[in-house]
Amino acid sequence: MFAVLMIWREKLAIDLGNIALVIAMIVSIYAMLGSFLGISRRSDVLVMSARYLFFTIPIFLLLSAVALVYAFVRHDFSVRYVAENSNLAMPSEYAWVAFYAGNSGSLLFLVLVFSVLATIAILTLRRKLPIVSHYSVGIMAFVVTFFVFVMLFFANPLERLPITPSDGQGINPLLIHFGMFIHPPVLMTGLVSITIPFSISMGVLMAGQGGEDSWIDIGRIWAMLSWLVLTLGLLMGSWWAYTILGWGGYWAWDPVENSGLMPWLILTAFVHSIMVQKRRGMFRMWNMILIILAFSMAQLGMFINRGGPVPSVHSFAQSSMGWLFLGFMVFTFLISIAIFCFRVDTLKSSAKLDSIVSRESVFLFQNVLFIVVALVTLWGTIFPVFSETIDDTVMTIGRPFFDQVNGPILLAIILFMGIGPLLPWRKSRFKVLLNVLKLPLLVAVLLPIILLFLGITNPLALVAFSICSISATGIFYEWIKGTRVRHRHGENWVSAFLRLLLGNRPRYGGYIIHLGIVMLAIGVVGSSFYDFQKDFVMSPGDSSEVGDYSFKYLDVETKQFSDREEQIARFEVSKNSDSIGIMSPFRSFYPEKRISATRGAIHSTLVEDFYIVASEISENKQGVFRIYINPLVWWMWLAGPIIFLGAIFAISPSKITLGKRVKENSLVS
Amino acid sequence: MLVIGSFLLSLIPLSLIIFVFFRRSSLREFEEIHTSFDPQLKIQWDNAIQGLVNAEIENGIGNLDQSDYEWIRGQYINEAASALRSMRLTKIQEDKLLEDLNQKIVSANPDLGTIDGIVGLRNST
Repeated sequence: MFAVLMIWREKLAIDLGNIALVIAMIVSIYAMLGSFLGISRRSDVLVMSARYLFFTIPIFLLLSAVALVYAFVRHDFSVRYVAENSNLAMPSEYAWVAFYAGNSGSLLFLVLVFSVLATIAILTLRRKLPIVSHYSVGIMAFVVTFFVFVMLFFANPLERLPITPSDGQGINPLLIHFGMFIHPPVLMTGLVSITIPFSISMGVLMAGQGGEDSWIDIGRIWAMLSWLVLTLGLLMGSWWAYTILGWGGYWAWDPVENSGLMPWLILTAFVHSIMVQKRRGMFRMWNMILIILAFSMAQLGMFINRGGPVPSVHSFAQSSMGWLFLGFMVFTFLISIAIFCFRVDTLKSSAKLDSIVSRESVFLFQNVLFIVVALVTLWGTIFPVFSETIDDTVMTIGRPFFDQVNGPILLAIILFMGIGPLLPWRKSRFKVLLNVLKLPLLVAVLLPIILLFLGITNPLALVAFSICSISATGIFYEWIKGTRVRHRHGENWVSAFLRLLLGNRPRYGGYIIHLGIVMLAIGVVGSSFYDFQKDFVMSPGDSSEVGDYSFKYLDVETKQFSDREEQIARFEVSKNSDSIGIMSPFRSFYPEKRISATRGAIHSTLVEDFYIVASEISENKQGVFRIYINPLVWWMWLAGPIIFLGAIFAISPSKITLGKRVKENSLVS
Repeated sequence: MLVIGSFLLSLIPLSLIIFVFFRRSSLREFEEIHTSFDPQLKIQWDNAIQGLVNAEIENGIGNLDQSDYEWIRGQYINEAASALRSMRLTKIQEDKLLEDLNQKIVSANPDLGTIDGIVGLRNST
């Protein structure tokens, strides 16, 4: 009786989840039509009911999501998605991971997250820009309608199977890792959240308020949040690839990786140039184009991610419905451009560039470079499609192309990142700039000499480190100078430094982010120019040496699990005769999935990582082990928290101040 | 049970539509929020003040030539004064704004002991 009741309850949950999806679709259509019709007829009832109904969408989508997670927890294999993405052996806590591990579940996750963020955005927008908010509700509802439509008609995560299997196919073994709890959701949230600043910007255009800059603050905050989440998602993806997948690398310029990077690049350009609009009333058209491009790039990512024609090593969420997303991308892009053209006369800048030597002009150069990198990445990503069209041969573009073309441009961006903050808004002179750059340039000259003494001889690496030093020195030098000014007026050093930062959060938050980016660049440069890898064939008891490291292969242990067999190798490692300890790389084989997974053992320090991967282990315990020495990778992972802190600091409300104000000489007599 | 559940779920949006319909006489969805002054003027004022604060920071740490500093400050003071004039504030409101500005600028550059910039702004208004 109890079992019958449980089955009935599971079935009811799935059916209610399905009905909630249908209601979400109806409600989002109402919100879309109600907003646009209401605006055209100036109907208070229509626009308000549209907005209120939009607020209910997260409730219905949440119900569907809960029904799906519940089906995973209860191993309800009558649901196709559950049967395809889990089995009885899957730990129950991975029900959450399985929820977004496949195509249709990840769609549900995306639209749920988007609807929650959109609801918050509408609530904040409503208070400041009521007319714009009506348009934005319509745009956001349109996006929700598309996603729910795709789910209901092409990829329903709650679709039932005609016959219930006794067990499911199981989750992709590579996804059984705690990193999967954070990396995919954060990355997906970052990508979908670009829709918020896009909807706000389009709402502003449609309302004919492009010439007013009252939307800038709210647009900037949403763009920064989106940028932050996307940055963390990309970094976590790199960290996951490096530490979990046993590649020994963190970025492969794979199409799916690129599809996250391209909107990030455009969004980075946007969050910079929107500051110029805020401060100077300039770049209004440019900003609109940037946000349209960022949104389109995010859609392109959906297309590539979900079964587009570009080959990718990622198996996550592949399907054959990429073309739907391509159609959506083309449609939204064309409509956005049409709206832009229709309203372009409202976007004239209220100011002009006073001098080429100014912060805004550096922002402009940097913006152009970001676009160039994004376009190069786009070309490299979609090139296989063109090659196949021309001569039926799929030619993929590999890492050397991206490294050689994008590497120098990214370094130029870092150079501008160092110069830009040292320039004032509006106007300066080369003479003054050179004077301000004296110390950073001195460090940039001295650093390569010191590095040469330390054995770093690659000229490109030296140039790259030198450029990074200009950015870092410029920031620290300005902090020191600013703190010194305050210290002269009776504040202690710590308080002077903190008050300096708190006094101008967007500026100094940006500096903290820049420091994080410099750290990231240092990690990339170090690990790209000085990475080392070598394969060793070893039997238990064999020892070998690489650089300063000695390692001895002790033994291999084989463990049987219900879904896999694990071979765990044990190495005794030392550096310059100092013991590092035991390192244990392992290989897992999943017979049902016919998948092997390796997990490297990493000894990480500030200077370098010593990384062992068990490429192959035979039955007689002889193994092929790949040893990597990757310099400075640790700096990349530390960059994440620093960028996070900087971004939060930059967008934090300005009312937080230290208790006592600085000595205030009255200027107004 | 499923029918009841579906009915209850669909009641949520329906009740909201009915709620809005009953409130329609009090709705003002197409009215911009009115403040005591034009929002664009407020933005112009805020930007000019932020520009002044930035110019003080840049000057305090030596990133600006004296003549450029004076030119930039003059530009921002003109913009701020123009916004202030258009806002048509009372004497008390104006004094309050200038006092806030004073604090911001001294906070940005404690080296400042002069009063000419703000006096210039006051005179311009």
